[in-house]
Amino acid sequence: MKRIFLRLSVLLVAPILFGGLNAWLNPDGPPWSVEALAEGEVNFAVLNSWERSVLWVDAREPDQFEQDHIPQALNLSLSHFDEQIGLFLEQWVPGVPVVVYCGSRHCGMSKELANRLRNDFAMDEIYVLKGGWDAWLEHK
Amino acid sequence: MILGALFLYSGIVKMLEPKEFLQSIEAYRLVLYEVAWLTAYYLPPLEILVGLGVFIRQWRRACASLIAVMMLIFTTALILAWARGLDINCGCFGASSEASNYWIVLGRDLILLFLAITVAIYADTKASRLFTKKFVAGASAKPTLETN
Repeated sequence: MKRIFLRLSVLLVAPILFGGLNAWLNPDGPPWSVEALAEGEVNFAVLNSWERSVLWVDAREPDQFEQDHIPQALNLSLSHFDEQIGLFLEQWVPGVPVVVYCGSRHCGMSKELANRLRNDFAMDEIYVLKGGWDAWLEHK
Repeated sequence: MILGALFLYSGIVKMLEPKEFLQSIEAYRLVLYEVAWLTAYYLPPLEILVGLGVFIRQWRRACASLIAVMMLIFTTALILAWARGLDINCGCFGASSEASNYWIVLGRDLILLFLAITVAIYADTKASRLFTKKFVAGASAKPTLETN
């Protein structure tokens, strides 16, 4: 019985060391604080400091977009990507940053969409709005 | 063996993609971001260790017990997400953009929980040693030619 507790202790303590090493050796990992911005993320403080217009892209589903969205935003969801990409490419102007958002900080669609746009169209100024639609509701 | 291999694979995949794993944990909306961050770094090495440990006879019981506890937590989290109607990807084997089918994931979790409990109870018992001797060692023994 004593042995099994000793083994359980080793198993429970060792991952702290390995996990800590993993976090330390990978600076590209996720930020520790919810307030911190990961690479490619922006918040309204950053956007206000830019003092230039951006192209908003709403990565949510069309029905959510229809209910409400950021003014002048385009809808481009991953599930309707092929149908909606044409309009996005018509509206996109090189040199204008694209900011993608989805429902909240819990959704990953905006990051996936931003990666897809970067990879498929070699766009470099693509950002993700931290907090997504919830952040916009707090901000407006 | 299946249990160990699954946990080993799942731990490695998650350890290589901490951002995606963190996002999967966040999608459950059960814990604060900081707790999710700690989990995203703590859980993968734990899964790797218990996955490896299942292959070692002396560590099998302890590792299977921990796997059973983890499977209980994962299953509870899954049921809570299901009950709240969240459209999540389970994050069980790294990131995926596909939403999980709750019935399939729950079924798989329950099978793994059953396997883990069985291993934890019967690991290193006389019955399991007999089983290993008869089926595992017996299967790997080289066939000999009968001369008489």
